[in-house]
Amino acid sequence: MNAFVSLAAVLALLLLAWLGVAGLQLHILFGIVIPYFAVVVFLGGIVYRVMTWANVPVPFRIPTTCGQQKSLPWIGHSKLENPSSSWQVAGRMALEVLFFRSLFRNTKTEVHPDGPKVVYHPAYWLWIGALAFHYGFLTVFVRHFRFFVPPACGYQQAASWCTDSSVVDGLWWALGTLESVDAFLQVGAPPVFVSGIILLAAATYLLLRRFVIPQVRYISLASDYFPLFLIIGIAATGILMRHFVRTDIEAIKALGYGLASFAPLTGGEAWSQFVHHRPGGAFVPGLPDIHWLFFAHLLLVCTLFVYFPFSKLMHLGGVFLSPTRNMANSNRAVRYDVGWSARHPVPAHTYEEYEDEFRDKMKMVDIPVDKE
Amino acid sequence: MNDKIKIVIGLVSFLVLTSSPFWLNIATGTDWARPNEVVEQEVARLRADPGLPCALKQSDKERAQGRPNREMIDKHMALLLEWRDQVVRDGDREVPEWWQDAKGQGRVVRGRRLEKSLSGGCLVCHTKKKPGETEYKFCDACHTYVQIDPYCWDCHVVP
Repeated sequence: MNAFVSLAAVLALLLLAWLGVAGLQLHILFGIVIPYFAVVVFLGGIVYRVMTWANVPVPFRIPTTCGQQKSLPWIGHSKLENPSSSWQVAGRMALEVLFFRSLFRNTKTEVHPDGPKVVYHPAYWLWIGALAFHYGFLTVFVRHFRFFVPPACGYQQAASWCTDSSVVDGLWWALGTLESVDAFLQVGAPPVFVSGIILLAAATYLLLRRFVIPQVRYISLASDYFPLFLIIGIAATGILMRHFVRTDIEAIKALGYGLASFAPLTGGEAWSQFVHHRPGGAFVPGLPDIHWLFFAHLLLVCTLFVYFPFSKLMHLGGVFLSPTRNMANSNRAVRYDVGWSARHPVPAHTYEEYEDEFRDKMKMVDIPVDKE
Repeated sequence: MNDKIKIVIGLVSFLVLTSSPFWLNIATGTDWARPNEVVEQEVARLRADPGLPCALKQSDKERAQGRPNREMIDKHMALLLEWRDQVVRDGDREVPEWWQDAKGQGRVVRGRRLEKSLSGGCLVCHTKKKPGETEYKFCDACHTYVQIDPYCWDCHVVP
């Protein structure tokens, strides 16, 4: 049921884009208004969520650890499993953020068929799927920068539609290198990007995993299925557009570049150009030439952007702000103070004061005392 | 608290990276024309040349308006790939019907018989891609604009 609701929501979005663009010709709404709204909600929502977390006090040091704490010199210290300094915490966080170490530790529990014995196996598939998914998505995300940044002049001399700047040249060199590595199979024209295939395959695996494994299925909510269907929809429409349906990529770049230059209707040209009808041209150049499937792709991406800050996808920021991961286990070495003791001083009763109060009674029952 | 500074630094770095296209475009903002206009100019140039046949695979409406060939803009790469497979693998060199003369052979344009080929067909009329020229030519205009670097010329000689 949760899965059906999520799938229906994504299909409804596709239908909405088709009706809105192919039917009602609302290119400006779907190509300009909704994307700006989505970007504002995405960035604003992330700032809101992260600052909300930042304002929550962490009253105790609560790192979760799974190795030997720093102790006497002759006892081995597990620095990454049980960090005692900021650098060790940074190392632990880097392994978590870049390589998903806690997923690597995923285990599968079974009752052994030969007897009533519980056995634990390592289970790497979730870790592999998550790595493939996240790095595939990152590559796809970075590749899309080419639709928003100025065209570089490259090795040729400046033309009227390129930007002669070493920063832009460097950016294009980086993006071009990424693309040529991503397209190393050199299959088709335009060539197939490996990252797109990996993203689609990994997201599909992560979805099937929720269907097939009974325990995972039992705990899966609509908020687990929806982002997966959404991302599968994004990858599928993207691949479909690039290799099968095909549409005017020059007009799409003009739209993206125009959006990122705050001049969306003219594709980056001066705003005044908008009021001039070009001979034989459309009133809004380019937009009506783009296939509706592009607007469906864009609407799904905008939905992801709006949904992102208010869902489990915020683990993007949350992973950095987890007190169980980002704190050093130095409770016994360093006094931890949130800052509350200065604002709300607690009356202390030290041992010295205690002994002063009860010294005679302690002596009476032979309890050793510090001060005679 | 000390940690809040670290959080804000991380958050600001994320925002700057994610919204970098906006900053970059504000910083480098230049007057520029879209290559689509180059395509339109090319269409106008070819239409004005009486020696060239207006024989593209183009809708009558587009031709009447002097508009570029939409289907060709969207799908030329697929067509070239299809031709490559037909010519190289199947030996099928029959020119597309919109280039055929009455006998079913390629028309003669500028003294050349059109072939089922990029350099022997399309580029006979369309300005060639020549490195070293100061302006981007027909193909390179859009390709450079959207950062497409076809790998054809890794092996083939640039026409």
